[in-house]
Amino acid sequence: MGDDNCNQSDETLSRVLRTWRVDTPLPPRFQEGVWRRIGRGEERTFSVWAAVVQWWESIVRRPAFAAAYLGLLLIVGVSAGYWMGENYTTRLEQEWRTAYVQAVTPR
Amino acid sequence: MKRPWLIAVLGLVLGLSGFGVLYASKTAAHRELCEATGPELAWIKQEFQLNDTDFKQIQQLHEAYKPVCAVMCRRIDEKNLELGRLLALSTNVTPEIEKVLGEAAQLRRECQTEMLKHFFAVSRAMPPEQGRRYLAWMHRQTLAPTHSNMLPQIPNAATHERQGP
Repeated sequence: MGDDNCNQSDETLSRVLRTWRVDTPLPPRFQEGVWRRIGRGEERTFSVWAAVVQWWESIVRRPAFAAAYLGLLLIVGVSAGYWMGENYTTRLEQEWRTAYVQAVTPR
Repeated sequence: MKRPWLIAVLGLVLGLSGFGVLYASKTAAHRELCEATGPELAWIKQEFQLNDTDFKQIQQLHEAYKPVCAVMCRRIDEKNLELGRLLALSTNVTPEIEKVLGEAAQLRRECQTEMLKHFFAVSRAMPPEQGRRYLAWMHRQTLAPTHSNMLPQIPNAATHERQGP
C-alpha cells in the first residue's frame, strides 16, 4: 500500500522535473571561464619541486645511493677546501713578496 | 618520511665540514706566520726557510733600514716634484733642469747604494746558499735594467696641481 503511494509520487515528481525549464540566461563567456578554471587547477597540481621531492624520497631509500651521496658531498667539500686553500696561500705569498719589495725599495 | 631529508641535510653538513677543515688546515700556517711577522717579512721567512735566530737578526736589520728608506723616498719625491715644476714651466732643457737631473741621478745612486748595503747585510744573516738566492732575486726585482726604472717618477700634472705650490 505504502509502496504504491511512493511510486505514484515518484512518477509525479519525474513528470514535474521533465517539464521544468531554466529560463535564466548564462552569464557571458560562461563556458570559457569554466575551462579556464579547470586549466588553472591542472597547472597547480603539476610542480617541478613536488616531482623532485618525490624522486628524492624514492631514490634515497636505497642504502647504496644514500652512501654514494654522502661520500660524494664529502669529497666535493674536501676538494673545494683544498683547492681554495691552495689559491689563498698562493695569492697571499704574492702579496707578501710585493709588500717586501715595496718596503725595501725607495721609489 | 623524515629520513630522506635527514640524509640530504647530513650530506650538506659533511660537505661543508670537509671544506672548512681542509681550508683551515691549508691556510693555518700562513695566517699564523703573517700574524707573527707581518706581511713584509712573512715572505722572506718562508721563502728562505729561516730559523728563528736568523729571522730575528733580519727583522732587526729590516726595522733599522725602514727609516733610512723612508727618508730616501721623501727626498726622491721632493726631487721629482722639483723636476716636475721646472718641466711644466719650460719648453727646453734649461741649465736648471740639467742641474736637477744631475741631483736626481746622484740621489738615485745614493739610494741604490743604501739599498744594496741592506741587501748584502740581509744576505749575510742568512745561510750562505739562501743568501745567494736572496741577492739574486732582489737584484732581479730592483736593479735589473728596465726602461721604466731608468726614468725618474714625475707626478702627473693633475696630481701636481692638487698638491699646490
